[in-house]
Amino acid sequence: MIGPEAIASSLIVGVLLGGMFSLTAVGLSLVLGVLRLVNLAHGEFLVVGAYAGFYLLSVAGIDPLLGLPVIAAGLALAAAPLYRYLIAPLAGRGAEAPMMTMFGVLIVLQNLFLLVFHADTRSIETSYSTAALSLGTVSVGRIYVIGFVISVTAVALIHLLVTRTEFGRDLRASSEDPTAAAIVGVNVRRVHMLTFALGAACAGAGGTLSGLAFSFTPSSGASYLLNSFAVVVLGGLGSVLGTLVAGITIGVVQSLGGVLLGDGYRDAVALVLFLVVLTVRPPGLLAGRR
Amino acid sequence: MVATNRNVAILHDNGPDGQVVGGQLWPALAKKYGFNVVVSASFPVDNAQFTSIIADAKAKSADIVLVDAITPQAVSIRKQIASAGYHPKVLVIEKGAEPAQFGASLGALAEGVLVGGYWDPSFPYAGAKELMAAFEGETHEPGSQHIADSYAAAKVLIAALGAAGSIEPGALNTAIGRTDATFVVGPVKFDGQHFARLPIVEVQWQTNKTVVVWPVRVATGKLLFPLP
Repeated sequence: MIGPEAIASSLIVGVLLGGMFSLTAVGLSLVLGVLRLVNLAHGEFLVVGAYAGFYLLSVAGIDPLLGLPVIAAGLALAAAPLYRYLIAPLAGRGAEAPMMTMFGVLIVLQNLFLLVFHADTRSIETSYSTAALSLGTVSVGRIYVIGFVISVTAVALIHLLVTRTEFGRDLRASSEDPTAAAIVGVNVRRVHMLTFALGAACAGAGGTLSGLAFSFTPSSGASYLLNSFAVVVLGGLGSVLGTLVAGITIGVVQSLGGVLLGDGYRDAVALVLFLVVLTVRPPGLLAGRR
Repeated sequence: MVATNRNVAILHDNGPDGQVVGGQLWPALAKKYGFNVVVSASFPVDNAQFTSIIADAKAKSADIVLVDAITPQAVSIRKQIASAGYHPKVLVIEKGAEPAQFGASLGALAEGVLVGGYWDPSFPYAGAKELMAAFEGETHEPGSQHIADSYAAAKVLIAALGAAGSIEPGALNTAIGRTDATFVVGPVKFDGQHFARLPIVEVQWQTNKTVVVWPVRVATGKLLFPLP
C-alpha cells in the first residue's frame, strides 16, 4: 500500500505537470478552435523545441530557460511560411486536406529528426533539471515548479492576448464566423497565420520544458500529441482557460491513477476521463470561455 | 553477507524482456538471497512518468533499485529519481543503461549506474581491443558493448559460409550449428537448444564511460558505492 508521503508527492507533481501540459496543449487548442485545423504535426513542433533547447545549451552554452523566448520566436517564424504556403492555399477545401498536409509535415519532420539528430535518446541536463525541492518529507522536482510557473504565466498572457487586445478581438471574430469577420474588415488569413505561429511558439516553449523534465527522441511527438489532444478536448476547443483547467485536471487524474493503480495506468486513467467528458459534455469543461 | 541494504525496489517495463527479468527473475533471486522486495511495479514500454513508483520506493526506504527499461525510459527514471530527492545506494538499469547514449544524455547523473555487460574491449579475446579502436576511429562515435554482438554474428556467419562451402540454407544452417571457435565476444559453441552462452560481467558508469566492476578478476575499475 502506498504511503501518505508518496501520495502527497504524486498529487503535487500532478498539479505541476498539469500546468506544463496546458502550455504544450494551448497551441493545439487555438489552432483547432480558430483555424479548425487538426495540427497532427503539433507533437513534432514540441520535439523541435526540445532539440532547440538541447543544442542551445550544448553548442552555444545558453541556458534553455533564458533561450525560451528565442526558441518560441524561432518556431513562430518557421511556422508562418508553413501556414502561408501549405495550409492557406487549401482554405475552403474541407478539413481533410490541411489535416493530411500536416500529417505529411509530421512524417517529413520525424525523418528529418532521424537524419539530423539520429535516433539517440536525449535529455536537457542543467543544474535545476534534476534538483529536488523539499517541503518537509515531501519532495518534488525543481524543474516541475519552474515549468509550472512558466507555463501558467504563458497561458495567462495568451488569455489576456485573446480577451483584451485588438488581435484577440480579430482572433475571436475569425473563430466565430470567418466570413462575417472578413466582411467587417478583419484580415482573416493574417489572423490565421499569426494564430498558427502562436501555436507553434507555445509548442516550442513547451517542448523545451518537457526536454528539461524528461527524455526525448525523434519519435516523441506522438505521445505529446495524444496528451495534448486529451487536454484540448477536456478544456474545450479554443478555450485558453479551459486548457489550463484541463491540463491540471489531467495531471492530477494521472497522478491519482498512478497512486491507486500504478504508474503504468496513468495514461489509461486520463483517457477514460477524456472519454467520459466526451460523452457527458462533448464541447469540453469550459467550452465557450476564452 | 551484510545485514544492511536489504530493501529492493523493482521497476520494469511490460515488454517480453521486462516481464521475465523484472517480473520473475529478480523477485525470485531477491527471495532466494534474503532481500525484501518492498516495491515491484510494471509500466508500459513507452511510459514517461514514474513519479508515483519512485515516491513509493523512496517512502519505503528501498536501498537498491533494479530497473528494466529501454533507454528513453531509463533516462527519465534516472532524472525523476534525482528530482524526487531520492538517493538509493545501488541503482541497476538493465537494457536502457547499455548504450553510449545513456551516458551522453545524462552526463554526471549516469555516474554509478550499474548494468549487465556482454562485452568490453578489455575481454581477453583476439581483436576485442582493436574492434573498439576501429569502430571509434571510423565512426567518431563512442563505442559500447553492442558493437561486438553484430560484429561477432557476422564473423560466425562468414566462418560458417567457409565451412559449408555453399550458400544452400540447410548446409549453412548445419555449419552455423557446428560453430566451435572463439570470437571477440568469447567462445561460441551452440548447445542442444541453440544457445551459445557468452561470458557476462557487470559494468558501471564512471566518468561518462563504462568500466567492468565484476567479476573482480576481470575488473577494469573499482566499484563506486554508494551511488553518488
